[in-house]
Amino acid sequence: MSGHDSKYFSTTKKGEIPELKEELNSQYKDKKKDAVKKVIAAMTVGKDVSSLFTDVVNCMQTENLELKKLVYLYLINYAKSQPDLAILAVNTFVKDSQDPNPLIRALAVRTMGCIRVDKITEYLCDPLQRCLKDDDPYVRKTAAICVAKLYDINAELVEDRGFLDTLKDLISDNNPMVVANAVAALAEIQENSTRPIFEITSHTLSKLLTALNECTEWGQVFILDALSRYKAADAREAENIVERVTPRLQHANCAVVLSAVKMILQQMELITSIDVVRNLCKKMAPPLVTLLSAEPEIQYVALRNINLIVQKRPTILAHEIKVFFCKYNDPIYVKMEKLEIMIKLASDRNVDQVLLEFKEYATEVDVDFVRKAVRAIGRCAIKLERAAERCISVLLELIKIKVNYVVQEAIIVIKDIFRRYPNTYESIIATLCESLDTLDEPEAKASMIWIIGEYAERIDNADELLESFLESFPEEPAMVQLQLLTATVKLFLKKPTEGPQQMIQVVLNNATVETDNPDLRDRAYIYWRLLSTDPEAAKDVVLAEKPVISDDSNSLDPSLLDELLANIATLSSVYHKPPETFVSRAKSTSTRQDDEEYADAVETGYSESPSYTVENPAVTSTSSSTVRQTGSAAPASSSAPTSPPAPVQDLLGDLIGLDNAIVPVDQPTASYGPALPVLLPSSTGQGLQISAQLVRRDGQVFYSLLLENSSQMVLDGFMIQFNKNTFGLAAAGPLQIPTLQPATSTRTLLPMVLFQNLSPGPPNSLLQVAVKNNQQPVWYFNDKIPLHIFFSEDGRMERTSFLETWKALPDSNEVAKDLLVAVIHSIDTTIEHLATANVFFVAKRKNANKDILYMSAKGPRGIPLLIELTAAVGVPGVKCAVKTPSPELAPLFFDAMENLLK
Amino acid sequence: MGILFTRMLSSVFGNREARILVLGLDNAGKTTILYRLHMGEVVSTIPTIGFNVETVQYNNIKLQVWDLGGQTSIRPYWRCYFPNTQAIIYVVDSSDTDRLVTAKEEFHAILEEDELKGAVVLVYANKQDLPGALDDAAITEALELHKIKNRQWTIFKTSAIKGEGLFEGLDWLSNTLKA
Repeated sequence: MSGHDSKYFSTTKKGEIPELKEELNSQYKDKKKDAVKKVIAAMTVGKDVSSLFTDVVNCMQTENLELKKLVYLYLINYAKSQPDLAILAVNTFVKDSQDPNPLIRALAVRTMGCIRVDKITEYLCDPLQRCLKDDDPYVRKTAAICVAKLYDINAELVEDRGFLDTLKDLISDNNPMVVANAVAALAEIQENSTRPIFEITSHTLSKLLTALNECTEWGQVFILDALSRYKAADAREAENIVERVTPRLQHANCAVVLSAVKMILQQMELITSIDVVRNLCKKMAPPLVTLLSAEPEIQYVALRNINLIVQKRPTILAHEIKVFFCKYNDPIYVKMEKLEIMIKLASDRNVDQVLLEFKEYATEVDVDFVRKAVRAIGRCAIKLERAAERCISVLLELIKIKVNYVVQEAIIVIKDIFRRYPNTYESIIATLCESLDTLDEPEAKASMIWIIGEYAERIDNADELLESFLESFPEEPAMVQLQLLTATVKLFLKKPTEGPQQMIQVVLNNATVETDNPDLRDRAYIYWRLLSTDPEAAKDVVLAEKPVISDDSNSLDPSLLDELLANIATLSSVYHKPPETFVSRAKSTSTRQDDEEYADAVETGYSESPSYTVENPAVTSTSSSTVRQTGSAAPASSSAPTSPPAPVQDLLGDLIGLDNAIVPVDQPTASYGPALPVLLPSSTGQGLQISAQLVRRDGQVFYSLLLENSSQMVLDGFMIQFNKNTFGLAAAGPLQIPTLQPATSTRTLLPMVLFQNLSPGPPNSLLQVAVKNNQQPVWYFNDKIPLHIFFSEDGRMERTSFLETWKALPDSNEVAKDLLVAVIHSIDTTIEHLATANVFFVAKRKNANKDILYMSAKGPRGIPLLIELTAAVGVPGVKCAVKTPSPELAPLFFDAMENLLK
Repeated sequence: MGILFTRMLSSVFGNREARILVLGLDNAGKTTILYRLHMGEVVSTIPTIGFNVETVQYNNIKLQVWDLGGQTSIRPYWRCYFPNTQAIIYVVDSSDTDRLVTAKEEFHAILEEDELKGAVVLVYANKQDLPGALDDAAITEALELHKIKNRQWTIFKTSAIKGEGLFEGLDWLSNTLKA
């Protein structure tokens, strides 16, 4: 290698960035402007031009509005990546916020709000304050929104500087747009705060109602949303408000209409006059109907909201069921929602029409839609007693078409109809039995088997029918197996003849010996014992009267419904979920505290394994269906235990196999388990927080990690590395952490190995850890190695060998220390507690008022540790002496004991 | 090539441009001087967090004057403005005797910069209107201006409020830059 090769690295050709840099510093304005445009173009296509930050910012002080806007755009994009240099822009913001041109003042204040850099927010308060009191309404309305943005960056600052009060004053502004934006900002702030900030008084109320008529459509939405949270003092006030808002129902913008509906529904709660309520309902119907002539996407949103509205006030749309009839070219998601609403609106008056529609739908091509239509018929039958017979006849007609999935779906709903109207329609069983062979779906099979078992006495060949299913018993899904079991028992109880007796032998044998399913096995055993001890009692239990069902599927819990109605015209009402279940930012601080409290409460015991729901397919799926109530004797099908006792956890831990017990990211485990100490706070880790601790599980050392991503980025490619340490701890495999989305967390157990990278020198407990990912720099943090994680399970020593070992070691190997904070409350619990940490009890004696415990443990590399604890029960302070071939471990040992005895 | 050519042209027509930095500790009067030069009047200022830039036409020279914030937190970013600078106006608060040492250190640190090797230096001993203000000789001493080698420099007594001494300084600057 000669020195000449360096020429390959130096090139005369300049890159794009230096060229741009030169142009940005040009003295010619046109060239400068072109350069900034080029920079923005590069930025838009994703090239990193952040290195030009100062050069672009230097173009900021210009008379040219176009250039200024471009520079502002650049700033919004890159201020975060150059937080230090962003300070150079402050003075220009301050100047621009005093510019004679209101457009520039507003532009400055708007851009300021978009720059989320802590270091400069404080400097921006004065200009913001000025702009909030600007003469020009355009500047004021822009500044109002900026307060909400600032609140998100630094809530304390906003409160300290009194911006909230200024914002509240803006509600009385004489410009309606300013009012609307102030309302929007306050509502936004309120959502992120737990304290009451924005409360409408009777004074602001009249201001809002006046502004409502004058501001833009989106301003109206903000105001209506705010008004719907207002609690009117009495019915009169509510009526007045509603009266002022009713014209909004005619607005062309769907968002305004829905918000107005929401607001009126909320205030209607207070209105007592039936006439007024009826009148309002009448007024709300046409705008809701109009929403259904919009694009399918808007129709869907409208339908989801209407679904909630009709649950609360069915009268509003009672006469409008025709608009919910499906058109052939409706998208499937609109059709499904329309069906749902049709069922809710079906009444004795319109049921004929509705049934005709349903029947029509049941012959369409889309399988899901057809199935839902058949179910809809069934639900109508259950809902409307007088229509039940007509529903049944429609179902029978459909069965005759012999389309496989229609038949199966029909059988499922007929089973529900039998439950609803016992002893009414059993005559059709024969028709159902004809289709027996075609059934191949578990739910349909299970339903049919239930019918056979329930009406065994009326079906002459019930035993033959059931027998045909029995052959394939082991291969059937659990749902069908459970039904077969119950149906056979019912058959036997109803017809205690030889055939059924043989069958029941086979079934019980299959269900107890051959199966792995605990539900099935338990249920079979219960039947078995019932039958063998008291057949009469079995009859009472299995053939007991069943409660009559009602159609409550797909209707929401009243309190949830009220919450959703308060959120009409938001995502929440489309998802039919309360906002806090899918918006993680809102009030996240309060939930966080709950988690911590919970974690403290379960200091001991671990649940690294996924939270288990004992799967019970027979129970979980069907909502109103009878399958779950097969006789009253279905104890095993009670819902899954939510908090299994500790031993079960251990067992499950074993079953799952902790070697690869890496919890998938979507498991909601983050909030469970003992609190891990935070080693890398999110403030240091740019939003990544790492909590971790070394733990021992089943004879192996693991590094238990909790990673929480509160940054705005998706983090992936996690790796971990441990520095040399006294015990040579190192990761046994790569860190298995899936991609970490923003605002999620994940837990993992990393298996560790010993004696891999030993550090020389006297033993110490320091463990230095480095964690990296693809998005962030490498994070370093320190952890402590607690010695007791090395204590192995085979550390128990017999009394004699303890004595021998003790004697064999020279006295110089004995080290003692007073553990001041340690305390022994009770000898037995201490022994038990230490045994869980693999410190085993050998012997004890009493000396004066003190108890002396002799214990043993086996440290790393099998080093024996002979321990003598001297303490008075209940008095803090334990004298701990340890004798070991490696006395240099003693300091670490005392630390561990102090921890264990705390 | 292009730049050289335009320079030659502009010198023929007697209209030259120069880039000038106004530096100094905070509260030395930089922003006031800038606007005194730009608009001829005294404006009320607040501490400059960042920069101001204005063009000042003087004696056929178009001066692009950059006034940079003097607070400790902003001083590290001065260097972003060093390239292509023809002159530095260093402003000293002559009445702030306590911080003259800091002013001197910052001043000499600037002179060390490679990118400012060719820049001429004009020192304003500002705030002469205040009682107890040191005169130009004392400031020369305090800033150790005599240690400057290989560079043209001068010092003027100024008062930005009264408008004294500023344009004498600019006279010197324009003559030096034209030469």
